[in-house]
Amino acid sequence: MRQPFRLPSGGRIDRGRRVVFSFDGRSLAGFAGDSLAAAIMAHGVRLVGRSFKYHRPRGIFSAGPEEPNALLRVELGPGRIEPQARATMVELVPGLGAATLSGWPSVRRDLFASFDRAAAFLPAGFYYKTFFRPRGAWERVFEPAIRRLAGLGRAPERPDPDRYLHRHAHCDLLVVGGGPAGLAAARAAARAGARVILCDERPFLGGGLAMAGTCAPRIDDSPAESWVVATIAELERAPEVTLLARTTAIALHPSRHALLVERVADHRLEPDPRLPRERLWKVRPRAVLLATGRIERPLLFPDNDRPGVMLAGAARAHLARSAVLAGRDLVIATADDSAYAAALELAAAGVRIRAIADARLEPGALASAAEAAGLRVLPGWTVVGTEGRLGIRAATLARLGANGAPIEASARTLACDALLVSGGWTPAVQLWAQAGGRLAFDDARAAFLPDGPCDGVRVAGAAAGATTLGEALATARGAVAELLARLGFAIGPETGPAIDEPRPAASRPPWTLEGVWRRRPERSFVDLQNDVTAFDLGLALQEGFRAVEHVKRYTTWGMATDQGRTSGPLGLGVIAALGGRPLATLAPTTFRPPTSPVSFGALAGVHRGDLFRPIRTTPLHDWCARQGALFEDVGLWKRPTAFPRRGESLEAAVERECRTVREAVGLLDASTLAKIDVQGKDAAAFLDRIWTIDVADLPIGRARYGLVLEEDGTILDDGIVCRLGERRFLLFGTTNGAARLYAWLERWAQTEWPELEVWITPVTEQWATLALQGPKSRLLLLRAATGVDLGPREFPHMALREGTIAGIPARLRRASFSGELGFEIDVPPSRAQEVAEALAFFARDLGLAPYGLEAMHVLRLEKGYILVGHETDGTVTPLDLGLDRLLSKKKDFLGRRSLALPEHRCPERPRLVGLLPEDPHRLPEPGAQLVAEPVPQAGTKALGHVTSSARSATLARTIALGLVRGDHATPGTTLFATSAGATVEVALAAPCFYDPEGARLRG
Amino acid sequence: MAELSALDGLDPATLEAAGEDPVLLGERPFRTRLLLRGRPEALSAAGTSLELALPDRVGSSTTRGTLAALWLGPDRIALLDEPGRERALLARLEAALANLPGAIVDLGEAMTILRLEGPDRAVRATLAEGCPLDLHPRSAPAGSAFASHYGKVAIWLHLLAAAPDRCSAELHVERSFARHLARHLALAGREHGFRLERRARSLSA
Repeated sequence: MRQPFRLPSGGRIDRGRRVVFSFDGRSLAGFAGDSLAAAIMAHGVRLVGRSFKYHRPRGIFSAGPEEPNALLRVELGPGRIEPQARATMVELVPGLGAATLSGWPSVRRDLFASFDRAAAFLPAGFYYKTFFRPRGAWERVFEPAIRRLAGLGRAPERPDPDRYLHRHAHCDLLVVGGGPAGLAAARAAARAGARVILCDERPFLGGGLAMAGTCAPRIDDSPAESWVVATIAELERAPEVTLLARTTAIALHPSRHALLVERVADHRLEPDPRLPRERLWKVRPRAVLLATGRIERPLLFPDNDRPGVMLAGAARAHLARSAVLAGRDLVIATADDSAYAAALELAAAGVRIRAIADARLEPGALASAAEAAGLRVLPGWTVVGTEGRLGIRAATLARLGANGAPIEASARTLACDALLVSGGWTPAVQLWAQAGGRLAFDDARAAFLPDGPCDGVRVAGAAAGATTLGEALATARGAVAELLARLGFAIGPETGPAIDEPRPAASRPPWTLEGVWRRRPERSFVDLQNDVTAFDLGLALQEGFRAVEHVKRYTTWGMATDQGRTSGPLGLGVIAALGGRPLATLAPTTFRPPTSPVSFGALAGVHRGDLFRPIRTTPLHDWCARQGALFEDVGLWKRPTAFPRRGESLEAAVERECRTVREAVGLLDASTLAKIDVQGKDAAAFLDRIWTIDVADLPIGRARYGLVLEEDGTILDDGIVCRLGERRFLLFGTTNGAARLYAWLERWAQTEWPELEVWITPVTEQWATLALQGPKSRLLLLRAATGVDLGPREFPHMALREGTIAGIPARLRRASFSGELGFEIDVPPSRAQEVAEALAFFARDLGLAPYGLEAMHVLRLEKGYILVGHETDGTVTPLDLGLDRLLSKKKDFLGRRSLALPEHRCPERPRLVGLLPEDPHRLPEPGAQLVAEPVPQAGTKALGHVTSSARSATLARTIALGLVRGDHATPGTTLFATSAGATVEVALAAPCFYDPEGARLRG
Repeated sequence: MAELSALDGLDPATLEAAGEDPVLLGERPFRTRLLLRGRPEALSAAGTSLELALPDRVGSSTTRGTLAALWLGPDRIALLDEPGRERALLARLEAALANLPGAIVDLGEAMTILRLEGPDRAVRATLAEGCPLDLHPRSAPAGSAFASHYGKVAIWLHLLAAAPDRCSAELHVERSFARHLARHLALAGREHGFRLERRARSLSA
């Protein structure tokens, strides 16, 4: 495993630790500290993928987060798969498996490479114009095929075995970016005593200074890196500073709420099972300093996308970090001074540099240094084309004429194995723009820069347009002083260090080399990741798209996962040039979070699997489970569906449980019912305004059933009001409506009637509730309960008593949701299972059995009791349900006036009816439409729908409730309940099928 | 036996992680817990009857002996004491509030307490995994109390007095949410070493 492109010494890698990994099945080796990209380059591998649309060969283009080409599937073990990782951002660890995503059968021999020759037929908008018919074919045929061809990778097939966490954090100052500006700012803030969080998405701090070699500027007459090391050391010692490397700021919201994703584990050579893989930081800083640096711009010319074409700064970074060479035989094309530093450092490493073509006529001081070092500098020249198949073999340079176009006759082709390009730099302003900051075009730097104020957010360093280290540090000092002063921290006057660096000459924006890319715009790639060329942008303009956002969407320029880091400025320049509009009148497309791809795991945190949401269990849960309960979800609660015995079907169990309640006594865990304590001098007056029934005249120790309405008269919830004292009430509402009912009460108490003295407290969990229902329930309590007179007159229906059961204090209510004699018993949760055991003991010969929600539904349906959410749906009023008796005529209450509207009283309003299927074995489905004809004509309007249905063992037939238009709701009418696949003939009846006089429950 | 502990049924093997000085999770059930509501005159009368100046600003708490009062909202104070004191406290407060605009509710069994103990930084970091408040010792010194949430669960957070560099935090949580909360805390505390407290005493009633 030779590494022909690795120098024998140098770089910031640990040569003592060889790391073996695989790339497309080949076993390769690198060193600890390498990025995956550098380790691949060290072996001379050029080709790392095929392009998205034309299947053109592509190579590693950058050394950082802007990478558009080197997207690999990275596997770190079973289920540990990153389907589309940027090789430049992946750190090498033992056993890492990397694979190219596109090309079939392989990335080298890709059968679809012919797409490139058909490129003329595949311009922007090609999809929209081609695949829109036949209908449905896009989803079924075209899109899956195109997705496979595009090489976007495959989703992992196994569950992700890793853990992810979220961390909330607060600080005075959040610094995004650990380059010189960020480090200097963090240090100044730390010295002032501020709480500081500094994050940088790379594995190391130091930014550009940590990716430079001998040409880095000197600080106070020492290498810049000494300053970096000393600053980091000071920050690490500071108690109130948190340094987060490998941490990407993915969002900065306008309230300064920042989201950072920290890669905690993937890079570790020895995994620590205690650590999460990633951590999402939710930071609420008082101030934010963005020192996010800058991104190098490529040049735009025909065939600018061949493997081997690389950003000059990236080649410099790979050399500085990993001692890896972009090539051995280079041509450099630049429009900016920074490429000379790359040239000098690479030349010193022994690389042959054939020429440096500089599109400017007057390069800066570094060009002279390059010439002095014996390099061939060609001012006024640029690259106009490349040759090669799977990698670059030659570059063609040409002199630029007075009109800016290349002079064909001057063109000469130089053999090379890499072409380094630099078109200047673009400040990284994504987060600034996300936070709501404005951008303004700066002519001198040919870039959009942060402009104007943004509450508590400042930008410093290269992101603010600094072009030298001295400027970067000065902007950082200024910005941090301003931010901290506003927070009340005194910051001492700090003078900057002495910096020895050349003053760069202005760069020439690549899009102004129009004569170059206009030669073959269809081969001049603006967006490498999405395969968008200058021709495509021109086509969009020609087709009438003027707005930059529209051009973006039509061509997909800047819409890839690299978020247009390298393509954005090029594309804007091309649009400006082609449209004859000044760049300053255009605006970059909107920057949206996240700035970089984020794993689903990081977003979910711990909330997946059985921690996806809380699973609430009642104090009787384990007891129910021991009785054989099957559970179902009711909101967050687990509640018993039924208690099937060994060998018993669910249907048989429900039938048996219903019989138990009708003939003996059943026990239901009703602990989840909403319980709300209401106290205060005005409690009765308050509840009278909320409930439809009279509350003021409710005697102490009695309960009343009623409704709660929305202001529009529709039903919000139903429940029981219990009077515990002159100024104290206990409300019972539905399980699912608990939070809504509480919020409704608080809303009126707090915002509308603050003058009322009333305090509302949910107490659902303070009590476990057992419902005993059935003719033998009194007999059971006579045995089990003490201290309470259970006689029918002494303890009438809807009365409250206190007593004990098995010595445990209990609150008893005579109430029934089954139509039978029934009691509801509240006991302390810690004693609930004992109470259940005691009741079971006393009921040995009474046939007691627990019953679940299914039986409860059947029982209440037989009685025609409504269930909120079944018989109501947010549009149904008490009048519709025939519940006029629950509407007090003595007082006003919420929703009452709405019920007086003629619309609520017209005959077309729905009416609750009972439905008796003609065939007593057939069950109409809830939701089935009720129509007059067995086979309704298309367009027939339904007369109503089925709201609930059940097989009633007691009645030996199926029954249902439904809502039917009032003018069709005459009992005896025959309708048809139709749903997908079945039509059931039903006769309308009164909505109560069992004991309509209520004799049983009053017994 | 009744369901008493949120930690029952949790498998230590899947929750615990090695660590020299771990974050320890235990449960403190059955604490006397009353919720006091009311207008200032009622709160002041309650404080007088308890011989305790009630806390009056966000984040604060006051104590007298075993009795503690946590500020949860402008008209909302939690009163905490050792198990078994609720009857006496209720009687005293009901008498004090007789004709004043206020209310008192027993929430002793509605909630339980999960207690995290360990090194100050580790416990605060574990809390920060789910609680959005600023829990830096400058903003939340020992004695602080907040109504907040941890992940998807509403909590009252009470930072108890502790030795220097140690932290002891009580999370009051509705009983049906306690198991979810305990498991979330275990995941959050893992990197600091996490252990379930071995309960010496039986919790059976």
